[in-house]
Amino acid sequence: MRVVETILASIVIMVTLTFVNSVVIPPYSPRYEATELEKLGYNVLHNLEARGILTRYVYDPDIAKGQSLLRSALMVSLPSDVYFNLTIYRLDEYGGLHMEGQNIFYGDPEAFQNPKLVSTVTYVLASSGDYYDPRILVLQLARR
Amino acid sequence: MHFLKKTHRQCGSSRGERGQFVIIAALMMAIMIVSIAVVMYSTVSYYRYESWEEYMGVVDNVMAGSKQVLVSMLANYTKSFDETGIADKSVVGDMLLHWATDLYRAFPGYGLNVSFSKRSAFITVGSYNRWVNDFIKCYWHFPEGLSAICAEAKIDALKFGLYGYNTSALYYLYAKVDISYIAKNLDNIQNINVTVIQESGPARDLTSSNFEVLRFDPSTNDWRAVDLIANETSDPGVYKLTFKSENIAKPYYKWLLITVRDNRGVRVRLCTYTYIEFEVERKTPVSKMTSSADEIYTLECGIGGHWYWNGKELTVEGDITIMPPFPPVPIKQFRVNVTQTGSSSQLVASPCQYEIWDKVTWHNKTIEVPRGLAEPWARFNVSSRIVFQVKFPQLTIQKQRVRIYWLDDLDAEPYQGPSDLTYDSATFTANTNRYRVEFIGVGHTQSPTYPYDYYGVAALVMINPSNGLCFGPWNLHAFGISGGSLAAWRPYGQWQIKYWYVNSTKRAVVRLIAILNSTQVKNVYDASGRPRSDYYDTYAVVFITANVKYLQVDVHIYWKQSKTDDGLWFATIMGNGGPTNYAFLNYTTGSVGSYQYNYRDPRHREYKYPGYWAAHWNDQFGRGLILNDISVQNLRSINANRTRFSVTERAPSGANQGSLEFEAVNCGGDVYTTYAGLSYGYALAMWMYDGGSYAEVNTYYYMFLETYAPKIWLCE
Amino acid sequence: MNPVFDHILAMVVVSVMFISAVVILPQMNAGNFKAVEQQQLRNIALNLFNAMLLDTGYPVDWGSRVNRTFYFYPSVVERFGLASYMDPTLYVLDPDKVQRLNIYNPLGYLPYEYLKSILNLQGYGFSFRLVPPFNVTNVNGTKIDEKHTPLSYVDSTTLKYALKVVHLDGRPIPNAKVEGFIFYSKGKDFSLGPLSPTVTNASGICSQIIRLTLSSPDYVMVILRISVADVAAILVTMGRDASVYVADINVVGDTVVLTKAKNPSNEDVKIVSIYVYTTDGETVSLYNGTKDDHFNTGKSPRFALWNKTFDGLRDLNPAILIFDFSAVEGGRREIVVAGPYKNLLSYNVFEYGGKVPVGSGAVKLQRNVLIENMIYTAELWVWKE
Repeated sequence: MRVVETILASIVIMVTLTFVNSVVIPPYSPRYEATELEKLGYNVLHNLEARGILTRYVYDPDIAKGQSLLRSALMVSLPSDVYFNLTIYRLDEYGGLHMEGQNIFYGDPEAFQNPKLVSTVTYVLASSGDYYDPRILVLQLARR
Repeated sequence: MHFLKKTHRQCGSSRGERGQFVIIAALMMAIMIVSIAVVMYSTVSYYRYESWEEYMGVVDNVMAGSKQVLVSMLANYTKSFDETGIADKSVVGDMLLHWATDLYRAFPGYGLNVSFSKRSAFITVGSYNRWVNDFIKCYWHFPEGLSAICAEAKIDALKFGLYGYNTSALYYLYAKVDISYIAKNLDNIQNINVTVIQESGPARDLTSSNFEVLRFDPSTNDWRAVDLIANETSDPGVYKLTFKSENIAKPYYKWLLITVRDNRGVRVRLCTYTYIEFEVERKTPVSKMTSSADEIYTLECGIGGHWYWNGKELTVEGDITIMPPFPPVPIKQFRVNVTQTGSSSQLVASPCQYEIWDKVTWHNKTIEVPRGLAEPWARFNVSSRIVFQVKFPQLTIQKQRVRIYWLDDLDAEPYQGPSDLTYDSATFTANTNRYRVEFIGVGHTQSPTYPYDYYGVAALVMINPSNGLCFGPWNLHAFGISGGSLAAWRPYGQWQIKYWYVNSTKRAVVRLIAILNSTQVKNVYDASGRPRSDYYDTYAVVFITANVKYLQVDVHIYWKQSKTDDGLWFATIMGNGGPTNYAFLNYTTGSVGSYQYNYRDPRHREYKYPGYWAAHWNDQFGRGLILNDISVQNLRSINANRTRFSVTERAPSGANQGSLEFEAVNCGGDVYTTYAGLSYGYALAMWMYDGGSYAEVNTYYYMFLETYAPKIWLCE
Repeated sequence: MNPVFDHILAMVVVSVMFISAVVILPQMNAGNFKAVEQQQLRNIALNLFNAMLLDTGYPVDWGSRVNRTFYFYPSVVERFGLASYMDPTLYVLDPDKVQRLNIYNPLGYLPYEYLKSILNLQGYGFSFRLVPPFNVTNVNGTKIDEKHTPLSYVDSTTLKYALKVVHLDGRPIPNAKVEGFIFYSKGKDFSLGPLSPTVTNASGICSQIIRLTLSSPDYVMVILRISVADVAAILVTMGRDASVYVADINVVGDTVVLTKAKNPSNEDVKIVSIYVYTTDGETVSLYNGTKDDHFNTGKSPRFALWNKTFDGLRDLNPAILIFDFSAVEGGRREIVVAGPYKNLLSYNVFEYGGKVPVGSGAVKLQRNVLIENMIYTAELWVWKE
């Protein structure tokens, strides 16, 4: 009888351990991937802005030309296995967002399907240099 | 029995197996502990995660954007000031608040809270250093200049648990022009060197379009741009500006304005000189004077080498023939230093103020009249005059040196040093140590100190500030008699008082200006009578000056129609029975006639050949009325035979009077008929002193004569 | 039941459970172990990367610290970091420090094992790479090197180059701007001049004719700057120069140092002039040699052959230095061209550190960095040894 009790107790302990293990969220690598891409995104936008290139292209009076150049700039600045989708918004004085031009996209749309693997970076530009005219850049990144 | 035996056997066997289960239990516990240890290890490792990198990107973005905002504000501020002379700092706080609000909207999930506040910073570039506060600070118009903006940002990002992240931002443009060429005394120059430094180091990317050099052109009396090429020298940030189509000859190369604009749009303006110096020489006949302790001139200095005293432009002489031009600096930046004991003595700050003067065509005659105090931010131009005082406290002092310089801090207020001049707009009264003058006219027809209502006639009620005695009105001009009372038709109108700077709470410290521009007259004795427009127009300017014993009045009269009546007065001042004696300078003989008022047998007494001055006094006070050369000529011009100095010993009410009067046409003779187009002007100065005799007036009247006006000497 | 049977059963069951617990449980946690190890490795890599790219190290100018003979000793480095101390912007690297990771640097470099020890990375290995933003190849796709040069003679006074600009994955880049300068000499004559700017076509290809004023020059160096969207640029040098036997060119801070060449000619040469080609595509005349600017190419390797400090040289962002030498005897002129930052600023990948073991579970991190105002992707691989 004691043997049976012991065996039952052991089984209960084993089941408990198994249950605990399954509940513990394993550090899943792709989670860090999104964070890593976010850091890369800020890094690239920061470098482009430090050289004045981001401001120059975003505030280009010819929006299509500016966005085309921005696309080229991102393609050479980011690693070749990173896809991106950039949207530029203009912020009016009432806080309303208005999209400027088109989405600046590179890569395979399927890479952006799983939101867990996509990181989003928001970047703000204040002025083209002459007067206050804010722009909000939303950059989504995904690895191939 | 069998059951019992079985139980016994069972009991005996369980006792023997108990130890094994303890071991088994211990093993199980060991396995459990090992497994839990693994789980704990993974937990610890999993949550070892640094979040600082996430907000680093956001903070970096916020600071980069804030830099754009701050730099663009500095650029707009300096551009606005450079082009229009207008600078408004209030937009800075508004714009930063706007930016902070937009950041909150742009990062909705981050709980981003950004606030900006003013911060002081001390900037040092080589041996040049300046404080930057109140967000934006500009130091311009020196050979070294600075435009800077400084702010402190406090950032909270609630998502990351970041609170109170403080960082400061400082951006500036510094420039310096090398003025060592001036000391070399060359005949002309072809280039100058300018150093340009930003907060990040020497500015390396400037071209010719980033520089503008203005030189003074004597043919147009104005500044004009010079064509130039800019090249960076081997020293980083040092640019050589070569003049393309002209060399700049001496002395014009001493006076250059250089504007530097970097590629962010921030500007700074430099001047190769920081002051203008000249000497003032007294021309009064010191041999005839017993003292000059009160010989204080209130001079006006205008653009293009024009000085004025008592309405007259002064003669200019000197080793150099070209007056250094005033740079187009906001007028409030200017300050004046004057020597006290001769040209070579130390310069001491002199009170100064800034006025705007106009050349007005008034009845086909061009007259120069003040418009009032200047707009402090307006640039010094052809209408501007700096007013300051030069004294000659001892008879042995022949010349004093004056330095007009300007401050480089664009936030400097107009000079507001201590002054005995005040004005109470509630009582329309101006005060100095020597004078209390109440302006009566339309809007304020009677003074509480004087029993008679003037029904809108414009006059100055003179009150002795030391004892409160009201002398009575000083009437600027009068014509005719009414019911036996003298000087009936007097200018009617409202005084415009100029005591505060335009759009400012800052006040005049040297002199108050009161202007009467009237097209009407009124019979001061006729309460019910209406003002008339068919007599004469009056343009009068009164200067109530601090620190001196004189008060100046400048009057222009134009007759519109012919009128006939008894007597034409240039001035009457009442005495309220106070003065006991009076005297006047005889124009023809040059002698002084001295008399006593006869209040027991009061009359209107007239004396021929009035000269430059008349005075009345008692033991406590004395007042003189002084005319300059042209005023005496004008007084005599209408009818030289009927020109009189007169006194009236009794007022119409019967009270003692003791007036002083200058009559261009005496009222004691026949009627006089004016004619349309009759026009004349006169400048009078009242001299207030401590009485006793007329000697003081007789000493100081020379100051006001054109012949003895001071002379200006230009110096290197 | 038979008590013996009970005991045996209990022992078997317990043993089975014990063994399964010991074997199965760790396997159930193996995924966690692996993930935890990855996480640890990633943390280490992150810290290392941040230290490399954001920290200036100590002393802050350790990359420029040399002894009197301009030699760099690793013991100078107390703390490692590649960030530039002159530019406060993040992710701007000091080219002098990066050059100390070049194991072929004749003025000294930082050995890998030594760096691991000051970083306390015992038990780990890393590889640091600087990857250019795009690639430039010959039109047929082959790598540009001495055997496969894009430069060719059309006739004795006409040169031609043709090259292809592609992304790192091989896709062509149209509208890439190509500009540059040419330097050449023949006998005692020396000439230089700019090349007309051009752009790549839709296939990423561009070609150009270059007219020479000297016929069949002895030495020709064409420097091309290829930029995309004003963002990224790389430099390509092609031609023939005399760097193999005259001298190697190095730059430390603002000082130019000449060191012994691979195969020195053992003759006296004098410096006629020095030009700088900057990362912005400008050519600047830096220096005209005086009678004191001469040396023997075969001098002892322990000493620099020649050196001179030019204030503000670093601020010019020098990419390539071009020397015009003249042999003291014979009067012929040679051109020596060398990037002061060897293996950098071109289309090659700059590598430092160990070899990434295949299948080791190494962690890779990437960041965008600026060196001499040019963009690179910095990669760091870290693995457990």
